[in-house]
Amino acid sequence: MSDELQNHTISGVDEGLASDESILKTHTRIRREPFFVASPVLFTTAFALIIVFIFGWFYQRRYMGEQNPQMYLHERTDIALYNDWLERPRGPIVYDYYAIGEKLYTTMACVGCHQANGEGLPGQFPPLAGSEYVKIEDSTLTTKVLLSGLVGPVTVKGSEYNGNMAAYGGLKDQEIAGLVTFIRKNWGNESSEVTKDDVAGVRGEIGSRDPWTAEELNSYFQ
Amino acid sequence: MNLIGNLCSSLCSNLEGDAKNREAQRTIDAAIRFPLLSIFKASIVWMLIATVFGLIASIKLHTPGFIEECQYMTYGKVEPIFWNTLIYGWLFNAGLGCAVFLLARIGGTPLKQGVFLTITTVIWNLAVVIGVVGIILGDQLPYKWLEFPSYTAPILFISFLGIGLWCAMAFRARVQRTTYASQWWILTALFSFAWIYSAAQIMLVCSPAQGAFQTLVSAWYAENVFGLLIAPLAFATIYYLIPKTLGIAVVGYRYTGIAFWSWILFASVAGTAKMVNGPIPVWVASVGVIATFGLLLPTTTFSIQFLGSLLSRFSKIWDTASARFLIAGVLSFIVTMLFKSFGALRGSQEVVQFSIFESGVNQLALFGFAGMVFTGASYFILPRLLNKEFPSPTLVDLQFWAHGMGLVLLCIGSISGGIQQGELINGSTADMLAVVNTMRSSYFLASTGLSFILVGAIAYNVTFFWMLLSARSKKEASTSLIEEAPELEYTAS
Repeated sequence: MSDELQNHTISGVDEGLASDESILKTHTRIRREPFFVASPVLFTTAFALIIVFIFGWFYQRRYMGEQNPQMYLHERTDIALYNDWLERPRGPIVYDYYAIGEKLYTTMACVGCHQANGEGLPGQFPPLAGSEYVKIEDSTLTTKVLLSGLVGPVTVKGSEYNGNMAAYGGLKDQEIAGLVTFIRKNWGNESSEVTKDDVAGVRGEIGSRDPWTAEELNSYFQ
Repeated sequence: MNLIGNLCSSLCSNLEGDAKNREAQRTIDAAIRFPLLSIFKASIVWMLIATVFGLIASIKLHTPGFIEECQYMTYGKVEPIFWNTLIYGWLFNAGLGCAVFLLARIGGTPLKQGVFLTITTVIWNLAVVIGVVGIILGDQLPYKWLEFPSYTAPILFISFLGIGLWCAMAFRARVQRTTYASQWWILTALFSFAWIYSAAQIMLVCSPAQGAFQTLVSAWYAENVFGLLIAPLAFATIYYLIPKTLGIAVVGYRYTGIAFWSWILFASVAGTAKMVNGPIPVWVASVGVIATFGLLLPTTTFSIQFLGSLLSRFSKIWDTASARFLIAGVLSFIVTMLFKSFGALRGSQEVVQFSIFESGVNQLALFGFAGMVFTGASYFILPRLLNKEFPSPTLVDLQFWAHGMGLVLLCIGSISGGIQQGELINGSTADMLAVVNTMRSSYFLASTGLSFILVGAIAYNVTFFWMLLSARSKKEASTSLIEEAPELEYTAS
């Protein structure tokens, strides 16, 4: 061990290196210095303030909980009134399927292939307007194709197409029903409306499966 | 064996001739010598007792058969005795001792009514003894860090009012009109402890709050004992010791006010974070989590101030016992606050909420942060009170390294062990017996850490009583032992 290191041992008494009065006076003078100067302490403190503020802001948005009016009601009559209001008779939910479908058709991938006018692209994507797959009396065919997709060669309105229709089984029942209703009632098509329950029935029947091929669906046209 | 004579020579030193400032300091020290020595005596003995009880409690976790036949030493009694003697015995006395010394020295005038302070602190310590005996006899209360039986509470509170009154008078008697950060923190600790202790006693013991609200008050109180009593006293000590032992002004002292107010703002509500997933409105716990995370703001300011000052005079740390303890305390503080802030988040609490993690962080905060700082300060104060050198610097060295090593082992055992325990318990098919067996090595590490700290505590006791009882050497009887401190220069930044 070198001498320098050996010299660093604790002595018998810790030296006082500043007198008490000068500690008080010097620090009082420091407190009168300007506040906003380039100081590492100010910089890191400001940084921590920003971090804490951002954290606190998002945390309170996420975790402050719902304000439940019941927590503030103390009169029994008020609580009873509130409970009655919670249990008020409510009718079944009425869906406007056409509106749901119209919104989804334009915001999802549908419009990209089948186009806004429902005519598709000749030779690439089959049309929906006037298509036998859409106009058909038994709407389960259209629902099946939308739920599980369709691959391979298919003949629509006399033209051959060989494409790949993606599956949209991830959508909710009322959304599938909305899309099917929309394409069956738009662009001159005048077929029946499809409801949420119809879709649920088809979904339960086919389960989750690979995309259909045209041959599998031939039975609909015989 | 002239014990009594030596004791008297320690208490009533008679030294002639000295520089004028040193003479003034000696009158200041002489005025508080008797109460201060009794406070430090109590704190040092309580440290030994607390560590012994902590070690017994820790051993019982991995060897349940340890002292099992004694009905007074069951785990349920030993564990609260450990925490209560640690806080109200050791740390309260040590912090109070530092506070009295700082008030006298910064105030710059000999303080009167030392006898009053002595009597109140003796009553406080008697109340702690009664509380420990009460716990052993089975009268303990079920609230964290308030386990002392209800009949000790009035004694503790009234004696604390006496102590607080004396300190307020001591502050008022100061010569200079301006104040220093140490004095702010001491007043904070005194006023807020009177507040939190009375509030908790009234809402938990005198007229208990209804239902789930009790747990909320209990969690709030336990966190505030650290945040508004122990930590402020330790901050006061650090702010005083940095210029005193390093000879420089505290780095960035201009921004102390930010740290002071934001600490008080956040620390006073941080305790409710413990109630995450508890039977209370969710926003109460969320405010607590945000406040605990917000403690990172004052922590940042403190860290840069303290570390910046200490590291700029790094060589002093190895020559000076108190500065060495100081940097260990500051580092423990930073680690503690990181664990506290990030451990309070909902994601972390899902893992660590019912594990030994929290107890590990508390031990790091109390043994590491507050314990190291107060011990360092006592090594600065005692030679000045007694006009004696350390009898053996090796023992001081031994305590530092034993305490430090013990802390590292405690950290690994309790904190990382707590995270492991929480993860194991969270498994839906957890086999509790297998979890306990896996945890045995962590418990064993914690016990090893506490036995290291016990070695340190014994070294501390030996140093103190050796110093108190030994006869003065020729050098110590002269006035040149403690030199006059130079002026602290003001350098504009």
